[in-house]
Amino acid sequence: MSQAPALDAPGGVLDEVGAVPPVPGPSSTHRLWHVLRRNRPAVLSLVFVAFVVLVALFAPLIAPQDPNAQDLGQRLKGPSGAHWLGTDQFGRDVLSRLVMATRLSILAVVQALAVAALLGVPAGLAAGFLGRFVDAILNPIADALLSVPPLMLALAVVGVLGRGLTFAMVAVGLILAPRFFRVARGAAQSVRNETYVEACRLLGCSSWRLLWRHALPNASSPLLVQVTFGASIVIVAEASLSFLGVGVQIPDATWGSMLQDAYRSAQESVMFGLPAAVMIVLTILSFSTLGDGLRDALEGRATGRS
Amino acid sequence: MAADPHDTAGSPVLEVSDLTVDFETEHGWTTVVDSVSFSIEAGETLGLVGESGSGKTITALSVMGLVDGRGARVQGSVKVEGREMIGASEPVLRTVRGDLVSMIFQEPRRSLNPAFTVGNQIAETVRRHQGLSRRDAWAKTVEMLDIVGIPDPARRARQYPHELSGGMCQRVMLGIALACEPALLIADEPTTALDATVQKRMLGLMQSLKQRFGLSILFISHDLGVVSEMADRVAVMYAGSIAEIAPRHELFAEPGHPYTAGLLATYADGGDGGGSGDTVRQPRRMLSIAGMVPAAHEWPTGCRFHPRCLHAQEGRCDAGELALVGFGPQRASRCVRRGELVLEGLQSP
Amino acid sequence: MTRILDVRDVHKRYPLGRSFFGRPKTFHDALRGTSLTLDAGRTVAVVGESGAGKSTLGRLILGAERADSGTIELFGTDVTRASTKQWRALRRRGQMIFQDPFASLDPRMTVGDSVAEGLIIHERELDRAGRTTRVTELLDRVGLGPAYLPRYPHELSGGQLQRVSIARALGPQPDLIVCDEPVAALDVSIQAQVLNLLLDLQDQLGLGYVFISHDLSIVRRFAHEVVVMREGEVVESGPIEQVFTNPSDPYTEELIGAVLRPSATRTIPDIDAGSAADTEAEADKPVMST
Repeated sequence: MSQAPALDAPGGVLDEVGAVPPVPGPSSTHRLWHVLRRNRPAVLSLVFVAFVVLVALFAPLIAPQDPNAQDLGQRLKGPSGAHWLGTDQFGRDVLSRLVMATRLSILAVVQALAVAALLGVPAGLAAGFLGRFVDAILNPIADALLSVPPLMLALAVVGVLGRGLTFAMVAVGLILAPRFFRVARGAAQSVRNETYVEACRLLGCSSWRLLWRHALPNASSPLLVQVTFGASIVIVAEASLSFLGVGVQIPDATWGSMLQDAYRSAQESVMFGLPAAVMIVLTILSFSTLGDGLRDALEGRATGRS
Repeated sequence: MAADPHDTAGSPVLEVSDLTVDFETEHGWTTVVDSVSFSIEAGETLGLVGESGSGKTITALSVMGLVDGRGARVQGSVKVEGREMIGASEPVLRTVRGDLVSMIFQEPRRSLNPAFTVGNQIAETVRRHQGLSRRDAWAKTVEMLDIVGIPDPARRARQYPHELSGGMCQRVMLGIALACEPALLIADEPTTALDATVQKRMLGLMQSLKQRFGLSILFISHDLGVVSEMADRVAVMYAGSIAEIAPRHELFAEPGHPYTAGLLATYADGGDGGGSGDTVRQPRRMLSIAGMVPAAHEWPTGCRFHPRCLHAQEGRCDAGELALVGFGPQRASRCVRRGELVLEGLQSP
Repeated sequence: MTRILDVRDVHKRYPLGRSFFGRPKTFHDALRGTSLTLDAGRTVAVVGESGAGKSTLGRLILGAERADSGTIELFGTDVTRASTKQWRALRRRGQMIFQDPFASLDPRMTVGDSVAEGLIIHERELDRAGRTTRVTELLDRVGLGPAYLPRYPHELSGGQLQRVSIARALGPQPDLIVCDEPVAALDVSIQAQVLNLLLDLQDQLGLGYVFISHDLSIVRRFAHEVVVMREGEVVESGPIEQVFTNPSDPYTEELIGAVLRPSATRTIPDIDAGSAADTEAEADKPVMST
């Protein structure tokens, strides 16, 4: 018969707090990749987007010929040995134009998103988190921007700044900014009432630190999703603006302007617009799928894949 | 319809045999309830004690036939008044629920439908199971509200859940559960969310309702004090299986499993002993159980409690299938060392 | 015995429902003239049922909210009307532990980062390596090894996480910790572990605790003094043993009597189910809690 020693005998079993998995867990990025990897469509999208970005970066090296070299004797030819994707209405090599257009299209996306994020995110975080006064000023501005017909707004901005891809993208960025504002604001508001925010305040956290260290990371997931959907919107918006002639200026090409060229030559042949159209569709699809996959993976990581 | 609590000739109101529940998780199929068996006689209250991860709630839900669908696998047998619940079709389950067996839950406000008046919710049950007319159903509703001790029942019946306090909502839940006078009531932590004074009244109410309706109760709780008040017999669950089962006072006086002893120890010395009027009392460390409850996919081999047990012995406690072994009338324990150990129960009567 | 906390006649009310012009229609009086004192290294328990105002009191003490009237002196400084700036100096000395450890830690930050947060704010001279050392020390003090540093909250159990939360609170080296129902969300077998840890820390570091709890059985073994609250008012206070063995207020008696412990005998008489009298008392309980 054994007597039970006092359960809390010093140095005894009591000091054991409980098992933690013996192998230290992988880093957070590694874990994120692990979760994302299981999502086949998202991975494919990521690969495609990476491919497109690489093409954009190395465009001048990849383009086989001078994209602007005209050869009127070779107009509107189909794919051939000399021109893998054929020629456009001025006899220019479609493949080369497509490659250079990729660079500009991606650049356009980056510019517009950068403007949108820089304008929308800090303002949204501040409005959502600090509330009241700040919110009362910024929120109506965002609403106003949202209610203006986008095209008119873009034309107005371009009218002030001038034509050209960059200015057009600033306009698009301005149009997208309220969306980022809303998302950041919503995320910041939901975080504001969390117990851990109060805990950190009591710890001595300043509002700035709370915004940067707690509100922003919690907003990162919806914001990332917003970025990917925004990218799709920018591509279409850029195409429209270039179509109207206020975006990219000739002879430069973006996917959108190539579509416009094809449209103009519709009576003769539109085939040379097809590659650009395909790129647009695939890229938009990829961004959307990637956005969904990232969002799912990020949420899963934070909540333990519940 | 009050059953004679001394009628032992009848079959048990609830008979659970080898109940096993598996869930499909990220770790594959995981067992959360492992071959649990127990029975409840007419007019008896069985307390089911366990902490989080013990499987007590899933056990209760299985009795109600509420664990099903993809990702869940239920095996074994659960017989309510002789009727098999496992594998039964949904229409059969629906006739049994509310009529033969009812359940009340921990969060009364969340269990009530906020869009309907409380009276409506009672009336609906009664109409469905007993086919009463609207008028009769309403009369029965008001009667039930009165029976569960709600003042001004006719007026209250027209109120919505958010207009009532937590304690009142729980009484309404009892009203719904007992409206059709089932044989068995399952109460899953019914007073955990209530203030202590409200809890006391609620438990008293449940005791008197038990007498009045001849109920059997499966009372689930993590709180040994509550179980002490309510139960006739107690089953202690740990990590998916029953560690020990015993009549109430025997469990407390002489626990048959180190886990039970450990739980009792945390209630010990609550201040009854030694109160000599000494006003400058130093805070004292409490007795606790080291470690934590293992997750379902990480259950230790052998006795699942052995990593936390002071009496664990290599070779005996850490491997093999340890069965629930009966000893003495109505007692059983899963501890292989039970016969050798002196496990401390409550110190004072 | 230094007095580290002195709360005197504090009132706090919250508006309920607004009229058309934005004026509040009715008020909920959370605190009605509450007073409380605490000396260094001691524990005062604040007990009561839901709606008593215990949590509100805890938050006022640390400046999370401002009292409507009365005075609060923390470490000898009047903080009743203190601004955020004035609080900055005091933040180091008074910390809080919350009921739900999963809610009180940022789910996106690792354990190490969460615990380091207090250090980043209050011990700026530390570089990253220095901080890691301190964090490891703090985790060790609460019984957690360095393996916990890169973990996320969802990977830990409630008990382990509450220890992390305690480690975080210890970072700034406080003299007072307000514990708001620190073990209510934990399993019974873990509760005692965490309470023992708090007691050990009090012995080692001379911490003062304001221990808010609805669970009287815990409080008796944990605190030196107790304050019993009911609907915003203090009904009784004094040394813990005295109040428990000789309660002078019937409400205190009722609370003590409602504590259920495993025993050979049952204490609850069968209440006549038809009696409506005892439900009147709870019939008009405010819907808001604590």
